[in-house]
Amino acid sequence: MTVTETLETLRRNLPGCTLVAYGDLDARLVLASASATRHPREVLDALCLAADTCLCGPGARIAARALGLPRLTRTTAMRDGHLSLFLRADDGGDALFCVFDAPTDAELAATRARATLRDLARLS
Amino acid sequence: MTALPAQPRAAPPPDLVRARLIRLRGPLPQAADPLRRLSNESREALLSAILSEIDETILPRQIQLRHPDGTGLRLDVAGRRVLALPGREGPLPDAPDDAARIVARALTTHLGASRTLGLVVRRLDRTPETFTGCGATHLAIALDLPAPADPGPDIGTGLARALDALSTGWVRLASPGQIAAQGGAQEVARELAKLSLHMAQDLDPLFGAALDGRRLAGWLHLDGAGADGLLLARTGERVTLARVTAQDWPDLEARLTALFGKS
Repeated sequence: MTVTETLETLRRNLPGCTLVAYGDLDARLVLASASATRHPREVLDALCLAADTCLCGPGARIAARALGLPRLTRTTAMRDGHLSLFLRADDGGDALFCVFDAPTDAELAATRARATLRDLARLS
Repeated sequence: MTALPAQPRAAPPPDLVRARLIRLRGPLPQAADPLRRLSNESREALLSAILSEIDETILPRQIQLRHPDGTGLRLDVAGRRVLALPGREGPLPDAPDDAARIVARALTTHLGASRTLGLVVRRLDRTPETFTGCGATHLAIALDLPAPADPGPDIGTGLARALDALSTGWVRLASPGQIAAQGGAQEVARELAKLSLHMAQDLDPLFGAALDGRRLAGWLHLDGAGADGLLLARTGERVTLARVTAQDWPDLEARLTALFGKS
């Protein structure tokens, strides 16, 4: 199965999910994505930038320190009425982003997405 | 790049390993019931507390009501509705008014003349068979009580109510670094106040603004695997920061999604 097919399988397994993207936060780059409708590159770049701010930016580092964590590995966000999930691998810059247009079980989504992220990080 | 050789690690003493194996054979320790005790209350106050609990329960939960005489009544609740009374009555009827009458009768019978009640909320470890049931409003009518207050369209009020249920603490900022309100544990609120300035400034722009310049409402929850998290929420011109335990987060997330979501 290709990376895009893996992402599409995950997207179909997440109720209400419209977009799944796999990126490298160190490079601030979306490497592959799967979505219900085609998104312009700018949308994916903005998503990657938001994930980078939430997980690696100065505010995120302050939050991690306050929580006693070496780094943040998950952000759940509700922006403009839409739920997003940003996951970072336990080490390295690999990350997975999911966007939803309907209410979903965010904990279940995070568990499934985390498993896919581990698989992809092992492959790449 | 070549892999680094694995560092040799000392094996734990055999006694420790044996003790651990013996511990693992037994049942895992259960977390203590988070029992909420309501005492010296009127019948109306006890019933209103139960209705509020039902009205604030979004994810599937079992609410257990413990009478001082040792008897218990269980309510399966999800989506702010009572879905079933396990061990009693059989399935509830589809019509909410009929279901509410049955649940109301069970509640009043269970309470009797008692002015004391224990209340425990646990995760429901199975998928509910139905999502029909009855909500707190139908129950209030059946019990001849006022309906629980509707949080209405004011997201800020709904957020404050949700955060007041947390076991940790929160602060609301009037402006960067300036606290307008706070709740929960004092030491957590103090820690959040210190954090608020730099953290909020960096993350707040992520919520964006409408075309008319109005700041958009939203929230971010930052955490690591299974650890406590920090919530940053924007409502109007106010930013709220809260520390949330991993245990509290699923319920709070569902409430925030219902409050802030478009759908």
